[in-house]
Amino acid sequence: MAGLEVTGLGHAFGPQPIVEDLSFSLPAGSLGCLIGPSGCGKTTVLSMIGGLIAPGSGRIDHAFRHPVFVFQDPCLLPWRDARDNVAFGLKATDMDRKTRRSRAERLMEAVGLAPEDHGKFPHELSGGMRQRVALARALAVEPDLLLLDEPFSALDVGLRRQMQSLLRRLIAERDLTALLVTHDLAEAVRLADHILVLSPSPGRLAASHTLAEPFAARDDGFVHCMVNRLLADPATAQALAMET
Amino acid sequence: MEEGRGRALRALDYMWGGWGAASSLLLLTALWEAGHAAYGTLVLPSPRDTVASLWDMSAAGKVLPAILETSRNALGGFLSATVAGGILGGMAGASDMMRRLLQPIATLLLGIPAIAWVVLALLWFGGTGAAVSFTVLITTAPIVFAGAAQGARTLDGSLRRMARSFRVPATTLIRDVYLPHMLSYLFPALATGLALSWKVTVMAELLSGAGGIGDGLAVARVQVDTVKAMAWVLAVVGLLLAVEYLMLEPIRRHLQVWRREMPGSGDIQAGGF
Amino acid sequence: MTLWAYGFRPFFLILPVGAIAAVLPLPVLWLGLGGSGGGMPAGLWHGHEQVFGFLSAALAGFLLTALPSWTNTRPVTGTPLKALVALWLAGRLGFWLDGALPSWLVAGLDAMFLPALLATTLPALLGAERKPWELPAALALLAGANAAFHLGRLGLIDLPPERLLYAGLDLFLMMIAIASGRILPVTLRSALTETGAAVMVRLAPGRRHLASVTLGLLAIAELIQPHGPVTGWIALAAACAQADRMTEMHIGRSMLRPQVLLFHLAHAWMVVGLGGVGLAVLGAPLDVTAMRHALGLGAAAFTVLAVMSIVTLRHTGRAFPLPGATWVAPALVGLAAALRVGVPHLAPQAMATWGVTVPAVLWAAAFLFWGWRFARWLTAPRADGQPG
Repeated sequence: MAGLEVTGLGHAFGPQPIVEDLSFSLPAGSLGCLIGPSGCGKTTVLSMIGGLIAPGSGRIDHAFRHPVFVFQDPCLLPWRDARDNVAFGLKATDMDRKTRRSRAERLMEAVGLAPEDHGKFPHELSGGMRQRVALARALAVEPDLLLLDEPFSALDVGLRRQMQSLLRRLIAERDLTALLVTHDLAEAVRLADHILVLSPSPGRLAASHTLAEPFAARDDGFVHCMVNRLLADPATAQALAMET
Repeated sequence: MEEGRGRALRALDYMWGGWGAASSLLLLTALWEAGHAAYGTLVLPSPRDTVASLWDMSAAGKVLPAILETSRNALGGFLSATVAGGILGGMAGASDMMRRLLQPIATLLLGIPAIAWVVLALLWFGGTGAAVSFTVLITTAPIVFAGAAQGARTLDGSLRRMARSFRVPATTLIRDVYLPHMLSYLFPALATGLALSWKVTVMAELLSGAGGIGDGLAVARVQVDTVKAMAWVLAVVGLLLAVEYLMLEPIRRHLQVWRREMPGSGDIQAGGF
Repeated sequence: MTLWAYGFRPFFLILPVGAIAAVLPLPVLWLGLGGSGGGMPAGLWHGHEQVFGFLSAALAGFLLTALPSWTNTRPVTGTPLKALVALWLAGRLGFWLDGALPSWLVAGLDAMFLPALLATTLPALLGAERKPWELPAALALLAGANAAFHLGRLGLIDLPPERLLYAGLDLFLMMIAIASGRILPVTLRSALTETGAAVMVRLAPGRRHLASVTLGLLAIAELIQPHGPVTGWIALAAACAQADRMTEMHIGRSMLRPQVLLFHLAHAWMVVGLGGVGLAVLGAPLDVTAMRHALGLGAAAFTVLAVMSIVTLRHTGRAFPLPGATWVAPALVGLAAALRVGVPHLAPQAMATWGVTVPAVLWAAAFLFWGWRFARWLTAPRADGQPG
């Protein structure tokens, strides 16, 4: 089996069901976007797939060995400089300090951090640079599955576009599978191969769409048209209605 | 090597920073001298007489043993307070039950004046160093406790989640995530506690006659020798300043490198002439 | 005419004359070639001419140039500037004829210059948006000190005139401490640029303020009780506050550029002088007059030469890097200061020759050289053709 297969997934906090009977599949090497109104359990689904919490019911099957998270808040250690933050995840391996740091250097270059920023502490970096550090930290452990929880929603529009292109490029270069949670349909349309729409709480799959256009062809016009087309689908529009 | 040079330069910079502090202390000395001129030696001996007296007492071999005795009493109490306060505070921060159990006790202990503890300790232990160290322990432990509890309670949940998502080992979790955070709360508490422990020690020694600087002060009082009393005060102050600037401040700086200001920000002055 | 186009030009041009005149009688007296012809002790005369003659002219040149550029106001030029120079010259003439002229006339001739300087700079300053009020305030104090000097000398107030010299010198040092807050950012930045280092200048205003405040306190203390222990401690505090400021000039290799090193050395002199005065007053076996020379000859004159050179070059359109000639005059003055401070302690018997005459000659040589080298720029139009 290649890719991710979620069957009848459910989870509840106390008596309150968060996710119910959610099923979808995501082929390896593609980018899926999980979209839905706030409170529909997107983050919970991501945590279950990444193994941070156990599924309440149903099953998650995949052959990925290294799932890794990128959160909305970059979650950098404030007392470590950018280099050591990127190398942090590698401490779970038996790599020595020198190797960890040189790997960190390479990844910081890959995500476009200038050498003079490598020794800076998080509070000395801008929001966009911090998110780049977080991305580099995630990639440093050589993951095969990227789980991204609204990683760009705290950034301004220009920065978000840069980071989106960077993400697509890295996914293509490194042959990754990625699942990105967002509440922004335009972002999903710009990035995703598969869009999975969750209904309001408790979350279940309301609709799913597949987009075949290459990333490079997705300009503003395309995004605008496609968003309108998706919203013409009653199930999608209803699920996202709370958002607008 | 580059790093070593940078460190040496920073150390030199730090020592050079001592001039600013010296300037402030010398201005205080000027005020002291003016007070001496106004009120006479019996009330306020002159700075130079005081230093001379301290010098004479040191030459007579009285000062160094007293300082060592006082330091031993103070550090003994302080170290036990650090261990006890740190462990209990960490527990109180991590567990709600422990917080409910321990917080009121810590508040109560903080409210009891140190002088009351001195009296009780004298009754329990007699006029010995143990009485002094016990007083220090019981007065500084609540402060350390509060710092440790605060540090443990405010551990950032999202950082913990991030660390877990990378499946790093527990030692890394403690060393890279928990400890640096704890220290930023614990260290100020420790610094306050250490400074307090010296003052409490001198007071307890003065009342118990257990030797040390406090004992010297007691003798000076009996002899109505203001110069000697001031000389002992000078010795305590010197000790405190040494601990603060040679020990605490360098550690503080080392711990807070990550809070350094943005290069280029801060007060850039418009120049021109 | 170019000479009267900006305040620094005439004042810096006649400054060497004033500087040399202020030391001229000393070797004559010390070598026993002639007696004091004047009405006041030679030391008092010399001190007044250095502080309220030489340093005041330097201050006038600096303020008349710097204040307009800080406040973006019109500089004093033409006739008012000529009048200021004439007033300054009248004061010097009065002091040279002291003894021949009645004391009240000498006082009247001399006491007009500083108030006039204040009066010419003040109107433009009041209209400016950003008012660097601390310098005019210090200037007013200085004018007051000079007036009090004369009143004390005439016996109208009960204040020994030499105390006003001490306080006046302290006020000058305070003005240097204040003004360097404006000067150092420029010089440090240019030095960093010249050596290709990252340009990052961070000065703590708190350091500067502490340095200025301690010097102000010292001025007051020296007025009340110049040889009391309180004064001694304040002098030591001031020395430490100046030493604290030196850390801002520790910028690696760039520190060796003249525009930084000269200020660094001047600060070192200030630390030595203030520390020496403090220790001497507190009873250490040091010659307090020699230590005051570390302040006047070392710190103040050193700074004056550095600032004069930089201002002359900048305001005639020839900015950094400074020419090698900038070094010569400070080097000579530094040597003079070292002798004047060192000889009384190390070889008091050689005082007349090595402690007074040789330093005086070095001092004169320094200012002759400076005048010879810089006069051409002071009298010629700006290199870039702009007015001023």
